[in-house]
Amino acid sequence: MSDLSESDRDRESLRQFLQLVRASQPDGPDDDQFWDVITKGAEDIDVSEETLEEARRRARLALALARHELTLGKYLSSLREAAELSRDAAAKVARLSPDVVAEIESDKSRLLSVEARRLASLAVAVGAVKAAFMELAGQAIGRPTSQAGLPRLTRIDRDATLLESERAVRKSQTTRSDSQPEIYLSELSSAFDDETERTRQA
Amino acid sequence: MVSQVEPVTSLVPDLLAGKDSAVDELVNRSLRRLIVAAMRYGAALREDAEEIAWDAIYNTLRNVSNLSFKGVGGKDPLFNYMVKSARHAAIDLHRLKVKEQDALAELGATLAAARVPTVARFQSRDPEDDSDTTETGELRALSQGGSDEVMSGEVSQMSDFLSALTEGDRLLVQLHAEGVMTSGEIGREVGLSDAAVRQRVKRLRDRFRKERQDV
Repeated sequence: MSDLSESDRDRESLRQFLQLVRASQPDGPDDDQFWDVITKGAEDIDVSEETLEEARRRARLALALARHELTLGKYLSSLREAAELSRDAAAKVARLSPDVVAEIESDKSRLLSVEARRLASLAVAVGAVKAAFMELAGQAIGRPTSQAGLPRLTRIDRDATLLESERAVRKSQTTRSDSQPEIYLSELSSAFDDETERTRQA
Repeated sequence: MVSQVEPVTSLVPDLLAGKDSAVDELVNRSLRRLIVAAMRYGAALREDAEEIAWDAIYNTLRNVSNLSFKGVGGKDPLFNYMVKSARHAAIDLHRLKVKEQDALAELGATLAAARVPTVARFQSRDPEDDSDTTETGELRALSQGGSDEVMSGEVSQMSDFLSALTEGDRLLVQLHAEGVMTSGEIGREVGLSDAAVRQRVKRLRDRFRKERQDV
């Protein structure tokens, strides 16, 4: 077996040296000068108003979460209103009943009883940012609700047929699963990605 | 070289207080830089770079109450956090693309070996190619990680070594190691030719080796 040539050894030692430099700064250097060079030319790039506005939107969202100002319901309802989407229209897109959407938006829903993919559809339809949506959904699942289960029906049962059909609709939209929160959140995350991809391709 | 960009760290109190003007200012000062950084680190599509930049802003500000600025170098630690977040995301994305490319190359090779005709033959870049191109072997190395062989003692020695360098030499080595700029581009930044950059890095390597032996 022949030894490495001198140029091969030279190249290898340089590679090791640079690897060590990287290992000593695994997240990248702290030097301002370094980042000034890396980001040079930034002032010359065109950025659309939409791109700027999305950056501002995400910044405000992050800060609102940092200040604990948001719940899942508040977040989704504010998005729906900003998108000028009626509750009925949002419900239709997500294949949920408007009542269920109302419960979600008022933070009264037992989230685990809402099918993950339908909740994800609702979130995508109103333009939720995935990271925020998942964080708030996780909080909603962990948070004890004051009204677990279905809301009390206060109407007089004049039209049993109507109530029965409502119950049937509700039953078809809810899961009977006893999924653990982690499993549910995992399903929710995948469903969000799938719905986002589907929407993008549409 | 003194940074000409206005820092964003000073905006933190107003950001936490919910002032919209601070948000506008943060975005104006940082978004373009983050997009450029993402593209430097391998986000080939502009839309990917924008998404990475948005995420960097979001992820950093989401945790702004918990961020420690002590011990974080530089005059703008908040921007440092954001740009490192963008760097991390862009490298991850690049890593994914490299994997896909390698898989495609392997498939192409398999098909070629089986003499199956293809519409387009994919050719992967040779990571050993030393030519002066943007897609350097170091970015591939960055994407692949590869710090397993490195011992913690060596890392510590390297940190000390870098700290003792002049600003210019440290910048040179750091830029070369990151692999996101060609030697020619680095040379233009530090006022050296392409060949002089390579030579200087090798000399610094030799100096490091000697200092280690002397320890």
